[in-house]
Amino acid sequence: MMKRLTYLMCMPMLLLALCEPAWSAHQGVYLGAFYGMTLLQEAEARDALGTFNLDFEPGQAAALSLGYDLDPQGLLGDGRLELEYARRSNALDEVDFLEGKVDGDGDLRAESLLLNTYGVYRGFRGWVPYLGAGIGAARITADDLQVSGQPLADDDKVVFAYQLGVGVDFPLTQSLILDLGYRFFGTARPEFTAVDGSKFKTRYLSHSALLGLRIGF
Amino acid sequence: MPKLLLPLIVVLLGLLGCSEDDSPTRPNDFTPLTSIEIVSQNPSIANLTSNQFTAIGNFSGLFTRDITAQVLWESSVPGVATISTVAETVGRATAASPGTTTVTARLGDVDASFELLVSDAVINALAIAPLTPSTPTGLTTQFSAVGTFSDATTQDLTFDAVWESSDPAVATIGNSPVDKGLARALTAGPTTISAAFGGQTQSTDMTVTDPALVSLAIEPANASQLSLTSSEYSATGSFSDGTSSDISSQVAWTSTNSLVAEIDATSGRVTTLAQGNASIRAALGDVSATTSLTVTGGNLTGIQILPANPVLVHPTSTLEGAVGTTRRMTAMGSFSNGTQRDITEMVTWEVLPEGVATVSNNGVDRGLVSTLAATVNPATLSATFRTVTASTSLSVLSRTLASLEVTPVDSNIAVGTSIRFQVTGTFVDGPTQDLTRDALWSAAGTAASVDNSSFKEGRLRGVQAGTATITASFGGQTADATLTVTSRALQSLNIAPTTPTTGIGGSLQFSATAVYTDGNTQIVTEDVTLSLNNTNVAIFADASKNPGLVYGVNLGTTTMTAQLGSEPVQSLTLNVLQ
Repeated sequence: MMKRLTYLMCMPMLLLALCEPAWSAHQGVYLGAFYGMTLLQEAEARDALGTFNLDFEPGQAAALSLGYDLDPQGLLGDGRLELEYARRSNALDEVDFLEGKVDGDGDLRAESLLLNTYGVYRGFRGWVPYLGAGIGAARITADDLQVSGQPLADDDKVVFAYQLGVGVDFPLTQSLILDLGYRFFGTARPEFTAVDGSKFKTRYLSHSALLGLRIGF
Repeated sequence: MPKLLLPLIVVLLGLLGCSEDDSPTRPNDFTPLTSIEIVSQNPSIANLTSNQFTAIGNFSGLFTRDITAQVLWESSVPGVATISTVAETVGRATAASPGTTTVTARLGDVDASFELLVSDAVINALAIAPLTPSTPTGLTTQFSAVGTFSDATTQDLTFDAVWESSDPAVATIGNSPVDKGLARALTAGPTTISAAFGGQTQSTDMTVTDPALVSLAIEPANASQLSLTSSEYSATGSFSDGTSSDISSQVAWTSTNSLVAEIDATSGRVTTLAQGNASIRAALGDVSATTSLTVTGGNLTGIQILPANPVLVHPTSTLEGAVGTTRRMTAMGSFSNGTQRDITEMVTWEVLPEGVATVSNNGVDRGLVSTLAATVNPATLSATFRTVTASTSLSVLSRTLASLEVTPVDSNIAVGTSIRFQVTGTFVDGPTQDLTRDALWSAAGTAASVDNSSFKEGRLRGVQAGTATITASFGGQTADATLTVTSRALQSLNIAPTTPTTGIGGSLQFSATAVYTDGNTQIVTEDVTLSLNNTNVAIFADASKNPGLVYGVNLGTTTMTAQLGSEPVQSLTLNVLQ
């Protein structure tokens, strides 16, 4: 299912690189707000007793960004730099142990602060594809995670985070841009303390589809 | 640029969307235990015997797990039967007197019970199994004992019997809780295994045989090899007593693809025939092993004999014991991938008609032509591999040897290195001929020694500082040269080429040059020790015949090292590319 949803999210990107921009590029500061869906990849967790897999339901993602659109003729080329605060949340669906899968409860949340850089291509009319990456930090919160109704962990950790992003801008005016994008977001493995005091590490890799607006000033 | 990157990003992200398929290893200790089931070997047992109970936990109906070691065991009437809580025997009840007791298993708030009846039956007969087993050294045999009781019941008494081996040096048998009735074969020979319980005894002969072959390992494993080359495979057997030994000559060797590679059924010598894949199998009895062999370097398309149209002299002489002359011939194979390489050792040589010269098809002298008699008409020298053949004319002239000349006349080498001399014979009415292999070489003095090994004809080695007179003798003639051997300190060893690259079946000729602190340099290719760490990527052609010549075998990278005597090792990376 994960693979299929990822392909579905990426397919529109392939179809969008066809038209020419209608507006000249905005230069300067902008604010952005985004909302969308996030899929958290099945995570292998590991503790002293072995490995177990955490499977999550699709969740919601939201982000705010403060950035700067670069001068297309400038030294850095056509693109933008931004500081992004994002929040992702996915509910724990199942946990897979040696004996099989059992129900899970609780949420895994990620609040991230990233410095992103994007490059854009303005060869099309009305569509501006972009491609970028970002690094920063994220607080990963295991919010009352439970297995078979029994508490697993209620803990949080701050870890290194990174992101790859691709999407398309639809300039509505010179300074108002509709942004449809895909973000691959990952972190270093956070180590949580379980309710019994033991430690376990897990993986955080997510795929998000976001729709947002950027307003230039 | 983004236009081109978009599809790439989509592909990358699609790959990242693939989830790992790692099977979990952690037991689930979260899902609550909801019930326990006690499983018993026997519903009732005879007095003074024991019974193993097992506790199976059901976790919320989602899965079950053996929790025998986790539960708390209790017997309501210990005077009838006690139940062990010791790790090695946990859950085992031992009858103390006839009666009934309730065995309970408890974990947290969940428990289960089993009513155990201890009878007053006595044992009438004891049987053990297996009977008269044969066990190879290093392996084990588990014996069991079954009692027949006065109430017509039977009961497993393996744990309760006392076991004994009449010859513990041949085989031991366990009496501890973890190895009751387990016989371990130690040395070939006979022993008697017996079990005793309640006054009853039973025994059987056990024969320990020689170690049994358990597995085979073939070397080289998963090799790559150029076509029209040969290599030796070996088989190492691992035996039941933990030992291992080379059993290459005992196994039966087979190749699954005889068009690609043949293997001698007894020696394990592989000869590659054509590009492709084959599996090499070694088998002895029921034990076998297989490894893959990838043959590279194209298929043979033609052969060229070098030198073409050789002319050799069969000297006339009034001296007794006059002998003919020799010439090493080379067969160069052309391959379908556009490469060429020396296949002298792989072809079958022939000279016709007979009586003019012989050509060897044996060992290191394969392709060596030796004259027998002069001939008016040239003979035909041919080289053949399967259906591919080449031929050239071979002329043998009768001439009188006039003189010999050794070159270089005057030379200087460092101690510990070597030099090649050549002796040329001039015959009356011509021609001249290289007689380096045919001459007898000697060195006067202690500064140098003669190397008499194959392909080293005319090679002199500098032993100590000094001067030596080098003499070549043939057919009553002699010629001299002077060799000065000097003590020098090595400053650096330079290996060329420095960034070696070749293709599959392609060749590279390495040379080693010693640079000395006194400013002298010397080619020392024959004196360095060369090695390659990955022979599936590249191999040396033949260290004796073509020192420093390397062939590419398969795509990849390998490290070549060179060392002159005890000097520091030089390394460089060799790449074999498409």
